[in-house]
Amino acid sequence: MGRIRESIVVNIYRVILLVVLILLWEYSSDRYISSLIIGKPSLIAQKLYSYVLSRLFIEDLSFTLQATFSGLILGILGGVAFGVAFSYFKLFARVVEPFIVAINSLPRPAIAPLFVTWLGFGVLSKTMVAFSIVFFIAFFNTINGIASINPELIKAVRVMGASRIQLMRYVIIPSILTWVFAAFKTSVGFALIGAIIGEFVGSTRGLGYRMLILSGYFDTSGVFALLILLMILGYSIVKISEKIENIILRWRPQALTFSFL
Amino acid sequence: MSNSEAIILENLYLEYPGLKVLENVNLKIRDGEVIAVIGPSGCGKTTMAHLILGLIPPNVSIRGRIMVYGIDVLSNVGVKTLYREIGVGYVSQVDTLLPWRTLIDNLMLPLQIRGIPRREALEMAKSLLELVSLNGFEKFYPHQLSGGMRQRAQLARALITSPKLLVMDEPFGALDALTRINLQGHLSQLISKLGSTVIFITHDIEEAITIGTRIIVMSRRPGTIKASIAVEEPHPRDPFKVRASKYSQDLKEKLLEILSGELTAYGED
Repeated sequence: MGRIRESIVVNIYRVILLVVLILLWEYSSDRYISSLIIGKPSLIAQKLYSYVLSRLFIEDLSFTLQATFSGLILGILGGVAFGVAFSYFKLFARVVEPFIVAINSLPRPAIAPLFVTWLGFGVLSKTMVAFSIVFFIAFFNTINGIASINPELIKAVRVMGASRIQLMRYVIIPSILTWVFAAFKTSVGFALIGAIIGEFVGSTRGLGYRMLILSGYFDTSGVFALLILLMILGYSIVKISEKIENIILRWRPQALTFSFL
Repeated sequence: MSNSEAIILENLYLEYPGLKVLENVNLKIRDGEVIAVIGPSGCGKTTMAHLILGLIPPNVSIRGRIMVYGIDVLSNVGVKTLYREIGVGYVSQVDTLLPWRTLIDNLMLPLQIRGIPRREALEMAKSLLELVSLNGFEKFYPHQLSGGMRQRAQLARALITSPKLLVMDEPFGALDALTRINLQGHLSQLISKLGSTVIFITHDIEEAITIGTRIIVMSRRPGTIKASIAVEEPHPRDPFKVRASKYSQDLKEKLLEILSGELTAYGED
């Protein structure tokens, strides 16, 4: 009971804090500081409302989501495949290792313009930026996953007469998937970041692109409206992926689930 | 080689870099025998069991020969035939059930690997769950089961392909005393029904007497075979009665005497 009451109190305080901050913001805007610089909550709400109801929003949202999820899926598939190859072919691993580290050390915004040059202003270049981040997350997690495979499980399943491919299917891939899913949430967040970076660099659509345009017009309230939308979007896809993770990894003991969070 | 000899170890020698583990191991096991292997820790019991299963540790030098049902398991071609055609069951001390599979799916894995249709596999898995009294737990994940239940599940999984050879490496080592005695009784029941050849590794003398139809005593490292003692009592045996019986008391003393020589010297390691 005490706990529940405490969490209610905490929530009430949170709401009060938020309301006070917004009121303070609303009051100061155009009174002490120009709304061109800090925006204005009432204006933000207005812009948010009209944008969300417009056709433009649907187009931008679907563009950004498309880039995010194609980058996410391709990145995970590519990263896992590459990680497996890396762990299995030692010579290959030794040859490519410095290249991988070098490429991964590149700041993605720095290579995003190249993707736009190569792939154009469409969704493909944004997908590629998202891919270039997710790929490495999946890759490194796959390597960790393979390194952490319990050798006793391998022995047990080998003795059952499993072939190399069956070992892969029944032991190695499920072991790796545990790790990949542990990184799934992080990947989703980064895929969104990648897509937005891509849109910043060169695009004709998307939430990030829209934000860039508005900031170009000094429409600070509009930028805030977009930021709020991105926040909601990011938060919901992370929450959804958390749910998916919990379903897929439901075999995990609870304590372990928390330690991954 | 006569037909009744299931397993032959001949002048087996194994060395890790800088560490001799097995030396001059010679052993013949007849079909259907239940061999309890006992010896001081670190004497190479597990290594020997692994070799019989064709699980060769990396970076070792091996000499000698191991024949299991006429198959040279130290050769690459041999192990596949051993696993696929002869069939071996393996139960280890640590839980090797796949944590992401439910109990029933874990039991079905060896059948799945052999390409047996799902419906048929499901039937077999269910009947084996019953055999180890785990019916009702089909949909449970390993972490939801107790240690004793997991070991019974491992045993069921090992038996599902009706293997000719069952290797158990300290299968009850991590369990509490009561669960252990209970499972020993359980295993004895199964042994009397199945008639497979069993290699049972343990560090517990009473357990060796309860399970083995022959007890092999190994020396301290480098391990070699010190003694081979038959236990005439037929399976199924009652672990409590075995412990109380005169023959087991005598046997225990005898085994302790043999082992004590090994232990003192080992303590200087």
